[in-house]
Amino acid sequence: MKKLQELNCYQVLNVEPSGSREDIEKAYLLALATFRPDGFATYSVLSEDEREASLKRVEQAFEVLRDPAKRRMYDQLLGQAESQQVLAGSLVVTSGPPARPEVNETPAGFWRRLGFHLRPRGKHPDGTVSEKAPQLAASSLAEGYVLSRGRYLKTIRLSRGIPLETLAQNTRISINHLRALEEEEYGLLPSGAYLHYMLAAYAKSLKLDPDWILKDFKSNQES
Amino acid sequence: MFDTVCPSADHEQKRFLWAVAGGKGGTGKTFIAANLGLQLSAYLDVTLVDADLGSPNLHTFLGIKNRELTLSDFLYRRLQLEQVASDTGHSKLRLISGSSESLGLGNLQHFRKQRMLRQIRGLNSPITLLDIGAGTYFNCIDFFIIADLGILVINPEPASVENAYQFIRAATLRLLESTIRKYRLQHLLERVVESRNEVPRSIYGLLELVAKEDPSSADLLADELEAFRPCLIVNKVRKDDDIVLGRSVTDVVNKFLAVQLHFVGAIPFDDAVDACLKRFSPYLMSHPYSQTTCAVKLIAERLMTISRAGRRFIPTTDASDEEATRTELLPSS
Repeated sequence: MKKLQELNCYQVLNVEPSGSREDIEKAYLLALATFRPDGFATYSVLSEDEREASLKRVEQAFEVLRDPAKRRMYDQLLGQAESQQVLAGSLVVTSGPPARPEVNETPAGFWRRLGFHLRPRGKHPDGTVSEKAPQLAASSLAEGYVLSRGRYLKTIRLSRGIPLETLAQNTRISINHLRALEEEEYGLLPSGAYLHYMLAAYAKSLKLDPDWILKDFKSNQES
Repeated sequence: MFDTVCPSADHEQKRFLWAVAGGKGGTGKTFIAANLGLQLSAYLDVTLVDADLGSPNLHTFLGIKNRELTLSDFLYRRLQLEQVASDTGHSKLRLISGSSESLGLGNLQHFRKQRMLRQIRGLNSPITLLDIGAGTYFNCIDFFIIADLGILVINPEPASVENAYQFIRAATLRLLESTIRKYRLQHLLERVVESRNEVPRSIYGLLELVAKEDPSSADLLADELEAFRPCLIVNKVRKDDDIVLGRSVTDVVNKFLAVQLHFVGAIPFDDAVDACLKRFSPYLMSHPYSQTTCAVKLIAERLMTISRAGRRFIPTTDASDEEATRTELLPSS
């Protein structure tokens, strides 16, 4: 028995995590029928606003699950969240040479190859403890996992134990702008080319492939 | 005459109590109760009880015009419930019919109702099927929540859906209330009673409130709620959308009313139902191969499976199952 906000994408659509593409599409259509504006299945239980919000939730869930790559990433994070580790800790990237995606490699594969593993919150292996990493609650996964989003980049930065000041120094970008990027306050940033420049610089200093991050960011901006 | 699935030889002979309710009147509860009873009586002993005290109709749907003994005899003339069970003319099917005599039946006193509830549970019959009246009065809800399997009937239109939600909310609160009384958690009683009188507070909100004060009691209440697993039938369907409504309503109840509702099937509308009623002829007997009858049989089978599984039953979200039902049930347009 869980509230709507606590349900993961599969639960929102009433589909098994092992569901096929067709199952997910069918489930999505069914959910649309349930929450559609001219329907009466929610009559007297949900207000108009609540119905709209539920519909939005359904759309979000489908956005994540319809794309095989996103779904794989989501599954991985969900599995990790359920083993109680994500709530406690940050995603830790093994340090190493700068990684580039290989030819034809999907974002999910790239992600896996970087060797993400989890460590409970606490100290970075080299002993530094920086600010608290933002918690990736299972419910936030429902919003759709987008690697290039500010808060995930922040998680990676913190998991490497890099304070924002160091990053500002290395990238020569103002600390306020970096903070805005991480908090996803894109309104505070000069738009367009500068944002892309920032992302690329941020990614480079975290040893993530800047081209890939930019591509990911751009494709998500469009949707 | 009926092609049925016989129960497996090794199934344990237990007694099951089912209740059919609808919230709103005219949804077809009595039709469903009567015909489910007829279908199941092909291979099991069934006792039908007309618990719609204010306006009993079960006997009419079975084509029975004259009744010797009725519930009045049990309630006011000191007979036992078993004694007022009469033959229906169909083998293995008995009926405890309601009475149009006593005017007080619609507003039964508490002690009489308790006696009736006790004796219903004590009936010596593999299947007892209660036909419950319309509305969310305690006389309806109390008979619903004592059942092993509660069956809710809706029609594909908003008034019926709204009343069904109202019924479920009322039943949930009543269930929580009776749990509180059973375990003597009187201090929680106020909370539940408040909930009934206020603008409907969600069950989640109520349980959270209780959890703050008394976490172990909240667990107890949540367990009782978890065991409450009614089933849904959409009756009088005419098109695909109507069947989909069953799934939608189930989803809404599961997600927002904190009750595990299970959709067991949709029954097509048939003009012949009305015609049979006017002729005092039980529908299942005169239309053994109609789509409506097929649906009733399928649902009877599903309900038996659910009953036998008891708490072990876990509804699966099986889209393919839905497809099968749709093609079987709908007339080719």
